Amino acid sequence: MSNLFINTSEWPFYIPIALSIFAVLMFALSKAWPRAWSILFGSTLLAVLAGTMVAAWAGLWLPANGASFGGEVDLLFNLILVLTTFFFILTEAILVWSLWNHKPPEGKSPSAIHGDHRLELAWTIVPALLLAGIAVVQMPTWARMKGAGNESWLSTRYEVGSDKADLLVCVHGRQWEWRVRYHDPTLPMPTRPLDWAAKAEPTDLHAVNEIHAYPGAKVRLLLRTHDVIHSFFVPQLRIKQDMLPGRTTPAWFIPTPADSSRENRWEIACAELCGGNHYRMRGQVVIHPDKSAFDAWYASSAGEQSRRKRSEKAVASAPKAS
Amino acid sequence: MSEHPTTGHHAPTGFLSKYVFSRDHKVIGIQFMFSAVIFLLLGGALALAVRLQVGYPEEALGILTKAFPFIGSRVPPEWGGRMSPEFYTMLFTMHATVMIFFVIIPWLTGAFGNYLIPLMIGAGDMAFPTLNMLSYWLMWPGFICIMASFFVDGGASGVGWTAYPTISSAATAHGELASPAARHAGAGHVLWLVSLLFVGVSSLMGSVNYITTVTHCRAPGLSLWRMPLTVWSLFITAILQSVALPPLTVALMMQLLDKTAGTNFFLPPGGLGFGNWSTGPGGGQPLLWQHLFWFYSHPAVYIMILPAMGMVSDVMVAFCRKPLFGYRPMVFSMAAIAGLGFIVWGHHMFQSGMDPRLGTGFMLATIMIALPSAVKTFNWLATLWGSKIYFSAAMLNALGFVSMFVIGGLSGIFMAATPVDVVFHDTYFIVAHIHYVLFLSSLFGIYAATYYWYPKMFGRHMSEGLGQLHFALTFILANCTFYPMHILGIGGHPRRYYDPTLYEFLQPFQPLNRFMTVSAVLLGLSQLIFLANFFGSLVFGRRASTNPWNANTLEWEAPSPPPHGNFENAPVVVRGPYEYAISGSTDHLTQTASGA
Repeated sequence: MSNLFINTSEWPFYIPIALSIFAVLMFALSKAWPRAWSILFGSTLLAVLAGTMVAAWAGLWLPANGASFGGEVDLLFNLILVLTTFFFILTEAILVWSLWNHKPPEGKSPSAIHGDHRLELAWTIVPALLLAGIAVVQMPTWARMKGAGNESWLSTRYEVGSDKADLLVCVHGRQWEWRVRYHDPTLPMPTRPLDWAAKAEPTDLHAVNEIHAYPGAKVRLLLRTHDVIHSFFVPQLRIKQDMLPGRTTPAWFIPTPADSSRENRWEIACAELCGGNHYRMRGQVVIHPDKSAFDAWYASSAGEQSRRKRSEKAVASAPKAS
Repeated sequence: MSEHPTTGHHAPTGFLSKYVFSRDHKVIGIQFMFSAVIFLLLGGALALAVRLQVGYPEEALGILTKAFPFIGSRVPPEWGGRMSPEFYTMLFTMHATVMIFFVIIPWLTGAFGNYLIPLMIGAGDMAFPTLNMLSYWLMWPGFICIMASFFVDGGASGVGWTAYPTISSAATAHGELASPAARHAGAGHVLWLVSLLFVGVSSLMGSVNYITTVTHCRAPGLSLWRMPLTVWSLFITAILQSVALPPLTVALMMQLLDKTAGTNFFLPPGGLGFGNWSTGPGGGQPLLWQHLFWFYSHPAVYIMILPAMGMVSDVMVAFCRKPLFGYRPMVFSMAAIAGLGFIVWGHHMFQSGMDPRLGTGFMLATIMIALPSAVKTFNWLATLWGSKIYFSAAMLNALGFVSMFVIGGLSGIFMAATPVDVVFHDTYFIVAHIHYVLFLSSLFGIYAATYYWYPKMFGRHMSEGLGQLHFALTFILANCTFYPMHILGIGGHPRRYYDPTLYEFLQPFQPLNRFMTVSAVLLGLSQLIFLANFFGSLVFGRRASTNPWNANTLEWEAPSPPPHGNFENAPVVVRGPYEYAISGSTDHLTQTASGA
């Protein structure tokens, strides 16, 4: 089979084949022993549960959190995971048990029961309370993530308080890259960030596909797009926000990497289909070890940018050689 | 109902009026079914090509040309040995479009809705037989447009089945068909829009017909609370469709005008620039499309699951010989799903830039819609509890539906929770969720219903052995194909990626991607068992009696297959549909049987 370009000696190839054989075996067995069907259901559902645990154990799980609000998101995820796993086991166990006991004991027939009022009430009210609980506990986190928390530098009216942010960054999506523009952090923040997002200032630092920050920095993002909808997604920062044509959409984060003694690099992915090269809109968030390292990077990048500008100007204004 | 159904027309005699342009609801149902089965093949093939590319990004084209040598000569030389990324966007767009609009919806509401509603309410035909015929034949311009779109310049639509502006709608100021935003958003996408318009109008006609038939043509004695759940579910679905489709039709029309007539409904003020191209002046709003689209397409998810829920309930009681547990709660929860289904569309747009406060409202409604689904699940389990189960192919698929709908329902709660949705939105988690609902639930429901009603439709049984083998393989392989997608999604794997290996954080997931691809190919091959069974049994199937499953509902009173006009003697209903396990010697009482 190597002529099909497929590695046939790895588990992703032979396990599905082995499982197909298992399915055929269970089918063959079921003729004489109908309980084989309950084995088929039970083993599949157990495998689903075990597979999830193995994946989590092997690190194929939520990427390590690096955002101030990420802990709350992960807590909520785990809460829902526990609740849903409980109901998954409960309902599937009842199902598999019913299949195992697929006929009533000798001499008995199924009861002609049409329903039970108290049971209906119980299994309506209990899930309703749990669901309402889930709904309520997530509201503060959502509000905080979207900038409506108590932090004075954030507000749903995002013109307000932006001046207290440490970094103001405009990310401009286009097919297929992220154009990044920093407001010079040594200057006072603009009072009208939306106007700044729409029009660059000469003091801005421009970059492509890289956003730099440092642990604890209050980073205010203003997201725009040049052409189609893109979605700014950084898994470690628990951030995903669409960029809508014709609009400036706010977002924010405070990086809190687990290990801030080194530089952390997290990938930016586009999460909204934006054309053929959608998958190539790869960027990086670079979290420097501390503010001084960030400042050093900023100063050198800004210096390089102004040198480049000067030389471009010089080239443009140089007398023609003819 | 005092009005007794009579067939409004005489039995046709010519071949054309009998089998092609038929006004008989049974022929129309079967026509819908055959087209859906054929499109299932196309949609499945597209899905396998998608999976090959994601599992083996470097080798996919090589594998395809090796397996199907005739493709080789058709591969454009500029692709350079790999599938082009644009072509890949076309593959998944058309996979979703075909499966949703040409397989699941027509199979559930078109085929079973048409075939079963008149029979199960004891009517001779639909209320409007000619409208019914038109509803099928309006599918054909849709079929032709969607098939033609593969062959036009630029290829079929590749902007996602959601067709979000501006990538879908952007047009040059001069009105060329070629799109400045994407190669696969040109003439092929225009045909996509036209095709969906036809399909939508067809569904609309069907649903008006179903509503009228259920309200006006029921047999004497068949009160609403004696209707089987299949009829209830199709009735509620028809109401959903008739309310949700007009906004979609409007939205499709607006995007079509944006593409072809220079309107700017979805283009923001100032227009946009694409390289050297410039669009019109703008003045519209891209987010408007998302609201209109999801106002239809979220209810559409329920359109694709409610009929399966109803049919699975009826299949289940027939094979566990016990009354349905909680008949009225089942109906109320379907109605609740349909009602709440209209105020949850915003959960597709949590990260879209919609006001986050609106997100909280949509979150509340979305979380609460899990409740009626839970109630239904508990009632199914209570029906099974202590019953006498016959593991027929139909029953196995119904059981598959219940067990997998639990997973699809529970995974929905993660995405309903707005902060968690920030991570999972537009990742493989949502792909896993939609396939647990649409493949492992709706399609299992469709299979269950097909095995169950096939004897009535064609007068022959499908092979039980092949059916059970098909189920065993499908159940395991579908879980292998779709369950690991949850894990990918938790890891942040975005959907619609041509080559995930470009990303460091995705590389550890690539073996899982290959696992899913191999499983998907085997899953696809197993469906051939179903197709062989489906077509082969038309000729070789065991002859069916009038009521082979000893079921109670009215369709089993008509001969198999029923003649034109359905019933020899108009049925008179005396009881509900779920009278099983009566006592000692009486196993069941049909809806028309006297006594007890």
